[in-house]
Amino acid sequence: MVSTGLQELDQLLGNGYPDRSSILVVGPPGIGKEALGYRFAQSGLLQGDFCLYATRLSVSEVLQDVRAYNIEPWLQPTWLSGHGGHGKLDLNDLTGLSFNIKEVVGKADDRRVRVITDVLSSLLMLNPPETVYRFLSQLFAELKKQDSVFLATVEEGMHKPEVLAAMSQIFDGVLELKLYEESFRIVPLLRIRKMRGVLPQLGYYRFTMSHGRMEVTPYAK
Amino acid sequence: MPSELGYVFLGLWLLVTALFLYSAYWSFTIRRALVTSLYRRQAFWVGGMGVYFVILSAFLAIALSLELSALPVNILGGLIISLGFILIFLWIDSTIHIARRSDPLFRDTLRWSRLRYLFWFVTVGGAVGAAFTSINSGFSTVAPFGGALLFGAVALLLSAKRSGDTTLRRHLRWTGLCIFLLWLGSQITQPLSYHIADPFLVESLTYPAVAAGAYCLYRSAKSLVPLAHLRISASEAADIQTSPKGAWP
Repeated sequence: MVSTGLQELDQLLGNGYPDRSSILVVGPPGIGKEALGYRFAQSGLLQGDFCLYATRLSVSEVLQDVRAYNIEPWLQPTWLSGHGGHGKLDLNDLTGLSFNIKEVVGKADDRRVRVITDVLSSLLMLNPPETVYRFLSQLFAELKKQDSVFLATVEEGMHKPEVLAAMSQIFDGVLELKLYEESFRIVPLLRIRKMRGVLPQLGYYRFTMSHGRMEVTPYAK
Repeated sequence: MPSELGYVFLGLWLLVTALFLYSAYWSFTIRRALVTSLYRRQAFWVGGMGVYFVILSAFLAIALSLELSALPVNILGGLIISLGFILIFLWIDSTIHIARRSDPLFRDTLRWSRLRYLFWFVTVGGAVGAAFTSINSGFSTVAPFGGALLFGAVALLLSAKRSGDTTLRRHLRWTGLCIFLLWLGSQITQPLSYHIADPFLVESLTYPAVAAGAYCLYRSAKSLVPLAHLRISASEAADIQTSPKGAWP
């Protein structure tokens, strides 16, 4: 198992994400799903894993975001980014993107690899879903030859539900973050929609993110 | 003793106030649930608009009904009306940032990231000017100063088109409709008052547009983020874990 970087989430998942897995974090904008990626990357760097962060934003913008979550980025991953990274990220060229990711990950030697990305929503906006589906399937097949875990975030409310459902199919694990309207309040809830090697769960968990920590508690309506 | 029309107006005003307050409540509630500062800021300004419109409608209802035109009333009116333009500008600015974030190509529409400082300056300048106009000629003569806001609105619509974010588009549609209806309400007051002497009748005729605008602001607040409704069947509910924190069954 690979630690998520958040103790509470590790406990919930039985020590973290499965080895050689692909994880999708689905949630509305602003709910904090990026924090799961930042924590995952930071935890990997501290353990000596090779981390690749692929983003369409500039490195400075991501680092600003990271600090906003009270995470001090002492160690930095290898960046594929829109601006300022180790390599340029071009969302219009899926073949090139796949090649770049595989080339960078090839430098990991024998280390465990963590790939974190926020480009999935953009890819789905720029390309037909079938193309993205094929691109991801091929990329996962390549990445799983190494000891790697792939984590992607995708925006809820930006794509058709059937597109998100199709995307969920190719991932080994899907974490869903949602804002639920209950009477006159809003409750942020986490649900593990699926996770390889773990029985399907019906439970909802209330979560809060504060001071760089994520608190997760079982939620009963 | 108020006339029957007075009661109609009072009823409409209470409805409008309740709707604006309800919009503000939902905006601030959503803001509390969000983590990212960009989205929290947008929710804050929508909530701010709700509170602002309550203050503005209360002021206008009192000042126009009682036909107040003393200097302190004009100063207060000028300040309140000017504040509205600043609030709308702040909402536009925060929403353009969000639209840029959700644009897959991350484009800086109409170079907003640089020009925003200039338009911020122009908007504040316009607000100060409007306050002076209000002091000199009365708050009812303050005209909208829309140059910077118009440019902002164009940049916002273009950014939203580029972003392809359906949630953002829904939010923009409701907020745009709200601003249009409130503007319409303010524009029809003057011509109506030329033909109708009773101020309560004029207000009662224009307030349905304001009430519709208030409803649109409520819908705008609720469309800031996709909200789900928890529906669990009885069998599912029985299975929901109530085990200690973090424990895996």
